[in-house]
Amino acid sequence: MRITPSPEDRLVAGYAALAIVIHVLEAGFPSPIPGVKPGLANVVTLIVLLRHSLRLAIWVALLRVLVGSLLVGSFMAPGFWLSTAGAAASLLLLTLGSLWNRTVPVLRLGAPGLSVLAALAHMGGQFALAYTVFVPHPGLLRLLPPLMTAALAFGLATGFAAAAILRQLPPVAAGRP
Amino acid sequence: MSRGDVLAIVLAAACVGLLYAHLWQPAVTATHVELRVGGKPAGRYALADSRDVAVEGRLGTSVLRIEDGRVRFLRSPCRNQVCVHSGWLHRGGDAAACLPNRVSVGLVGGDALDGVAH
Repeated sequence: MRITPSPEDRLVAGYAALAIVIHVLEAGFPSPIPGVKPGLANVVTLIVLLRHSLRLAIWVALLRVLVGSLLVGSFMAPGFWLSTAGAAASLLLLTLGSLWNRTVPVLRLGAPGLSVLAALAHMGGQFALAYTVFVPHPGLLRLLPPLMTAALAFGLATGFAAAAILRQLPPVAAGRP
Repeated sequence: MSRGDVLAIVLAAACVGLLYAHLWQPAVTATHVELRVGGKPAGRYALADSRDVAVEGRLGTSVLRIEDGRVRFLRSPCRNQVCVHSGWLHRGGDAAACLPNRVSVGLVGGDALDGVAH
């Protein structure tokens, strides 16, 4: 059997590889609070979303979570499920954001807005899973506001980073995915 | 940054602010201790009555002391004694647990309601 990758496949693979490298590098840095990390790999997801399409962004994000966890060694561990729940929630939000941009072009969301909303959704999805499955204790809810504050700050940072990179990138050539 | 971005960021910050307002309410005065063994409720004691409570866990007996409206683990058969070192608990929502023995205590306010919706 022979699989011929389409130009789109190559694009997804390239971006996913970049995101995975960032993901693995970031996993090497210790985090002061469990569940809090900058999520710099999401810069790649945002760039793919804004330069190409939502479909490619979803591919890149899911591949990153899967392969990143295999490389870090957290595949199937609680952290992997938290990360998957977070990715699913943030991708859902990016989908809604894309729909919003199509329906309300006047208030178009760029990288900073999408990034902040996706970061909050990521933390929310992760927290919802942690609270309902791993630690269903009311005390955990007290952690939510500071965690969300961290998500807000990191969401802003990754959003501005993505916007800055997008400004430097040449426009996508016509006829290419 | 577009107007949409500004709107999204302001809304997001407002949501986070609301979370603080909702989840960081001033601590309620605790009136009762709720005991759990293996996650299942195992008794409820008034903080007003000073007494020692012995609880059977997975490893053995944990002893809780209730005194002056506070509660603490006095003894537990676990190795690391994290629960005993947690010390006295007195605010509503405070909790301590002996994970090896599967015993946890939490302080709750007067009524057993989580909230009231009108």
